[in-house]
Amino acid sequence: LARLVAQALAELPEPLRLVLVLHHYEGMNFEGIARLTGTPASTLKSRWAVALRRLRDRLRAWEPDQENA
Amino acid sequence: MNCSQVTDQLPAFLDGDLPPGEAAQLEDHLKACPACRREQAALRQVQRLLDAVPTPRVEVDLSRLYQQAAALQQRRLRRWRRGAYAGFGLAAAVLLLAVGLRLEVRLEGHQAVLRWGTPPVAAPTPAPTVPEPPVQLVAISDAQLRVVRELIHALAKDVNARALAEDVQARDEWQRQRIAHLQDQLNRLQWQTDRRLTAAEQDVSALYRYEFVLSKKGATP
Repeated sequence: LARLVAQALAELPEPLRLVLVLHHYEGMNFEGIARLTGTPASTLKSRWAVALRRLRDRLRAWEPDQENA
Repeated sequence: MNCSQVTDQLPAFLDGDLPPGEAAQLEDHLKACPACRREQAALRQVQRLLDAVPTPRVEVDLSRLYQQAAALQQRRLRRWRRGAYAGFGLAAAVLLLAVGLRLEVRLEGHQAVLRWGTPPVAAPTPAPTVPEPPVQLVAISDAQLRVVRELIHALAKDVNARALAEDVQARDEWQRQRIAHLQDQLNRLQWQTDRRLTAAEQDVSALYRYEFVLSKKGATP
């Protein structure tokens, strides 16, 4: 499972992965990431939403296989 | 709030990042809409999955990001410092003009008035019968101001040149005195040497006389 999640994360484009790692794993807020990267916080928020949805699609496609396995 | 709006806001809602009013509206919609509830559950599931795995290794160069942020901060600081220097310079120039030329800038009616020089001293007890002479106001143009400035510069140069000339004269005088003094000392030395030479010549001739003239005659010195 961990390998599949990591793989799904690795398949994300770098800007989305960056937001995901900094926000979800590093626990940074969007304003902090904005100061760090120079990208507006609103852009980062929408990237966060896109990243979550992409992972959802990716993991949903995989879920039935996991249940069968 | 419709389904599309709710879908857009769900990630922020799950983060607790929505204003209370919007969050309440979204919750109302969720109660009534099974599709959006499924979307919410799916996103929660994604977050749980992310929580379930350790921080994955991703190619994010954090040190580069921190360096970029530091460089940005430095650029801002430098810009601010440059602005501050410029401001101080301007203030100093204005102060110098105001203090050095006793400049007074004033807006009166429809004209700008520029005046320089010592301000008129207010008489402590003005005579009640004699009205004070009106203050002379001169409205001058940029060209006139430039002429005045050049005049001041020329005067300053002249003063400098005179000071330099006086300095040279004083130095010449001092050197002349020093040369005279040295000449004097030299003369004295010459005189002393001459005297010693004369004395030595006398001694030599006396010895000579004793050795070669008087001793042959058997006399004692």
